Amino acid sequence: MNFALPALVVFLCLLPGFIFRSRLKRVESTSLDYSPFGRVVSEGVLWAGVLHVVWIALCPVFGDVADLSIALRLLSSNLDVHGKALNAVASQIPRIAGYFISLYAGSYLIPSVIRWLISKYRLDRYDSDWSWLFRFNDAPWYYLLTGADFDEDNEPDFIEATAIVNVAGEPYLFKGVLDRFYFKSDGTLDRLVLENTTRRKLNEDKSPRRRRSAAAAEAGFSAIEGDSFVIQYDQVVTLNIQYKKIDLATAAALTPIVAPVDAAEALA
Amino acid sequence: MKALKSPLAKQLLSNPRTREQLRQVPSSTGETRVVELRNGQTQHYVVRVVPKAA
Repeated sequence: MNFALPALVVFLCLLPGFIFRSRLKRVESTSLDYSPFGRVVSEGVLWAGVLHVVWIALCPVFGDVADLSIALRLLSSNLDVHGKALNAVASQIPRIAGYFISLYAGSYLIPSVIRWLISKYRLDRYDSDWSWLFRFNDAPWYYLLTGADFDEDNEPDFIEATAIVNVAGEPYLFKGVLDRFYFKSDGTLDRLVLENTTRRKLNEDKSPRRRRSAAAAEAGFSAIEGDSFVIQYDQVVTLNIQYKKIDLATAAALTPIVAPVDAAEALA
Repeated sequence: MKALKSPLAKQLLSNPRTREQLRQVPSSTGETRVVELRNGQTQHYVVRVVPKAA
């Protein structure tokens, strides 16, 4: 059986870079990384190089020294050199296995910790000093819909989404609290999940009576029963996002609200 | 992926009464008032729109 050992060696050496990169770019188990293939490969190879340098530098700490010449000889096409390298590998399998197992484990765990620290200390916020390094510039929906750009003191409590969707040829306005959102593989939004959803026909805006006050326009909304309401983003004509904050009411805020009286509406 | 939702928002949305109040028409100041009854205590909240961070 012919076995492309040099290709396997290259693969094993580069694999940790790709593992590291994919773990660093993930948040809540959904990939936010839709980079072009060339960038994925170049970053993966770069991370692999960095990890190998760090691991080789750490070998003396564990009382060992990495013999890089064995790896180079494994890539050789000279059968004699290749054979000697294989013998060297065979004589120290536990050490080499330990190197790669710890490297793979590290390339999985280290970026998860880094990602957690970035999120915890909000290093990827738009005004962070580190945003040039840690920000997902290719994932604007993530920052728009998770509130990751707000500082902790001013973070809203929820997002209200209002979408116009054509239902049987008629445009409807759907409004609700955004619960979840999903991406397609190309990074565009796939669907939105709303809760506490209401809806009304958009053409009721055109009625002169409805136009007279915001309250009258809102009154046309009817609640949709159910816990979650899913809207396919492909069917959304326009989407409006509002960040809402819930505060404990102070005594001053509890004074009665005097709503503007619409005379025409009152007479109607 | 989970959208932004604080524990307080989850708490108000899980209660049918406060959930209904969150759907109310905002006042002229753009605020919605929510009254929560929990363990015999009445809690008043004001829900308002805040500007985008960036």
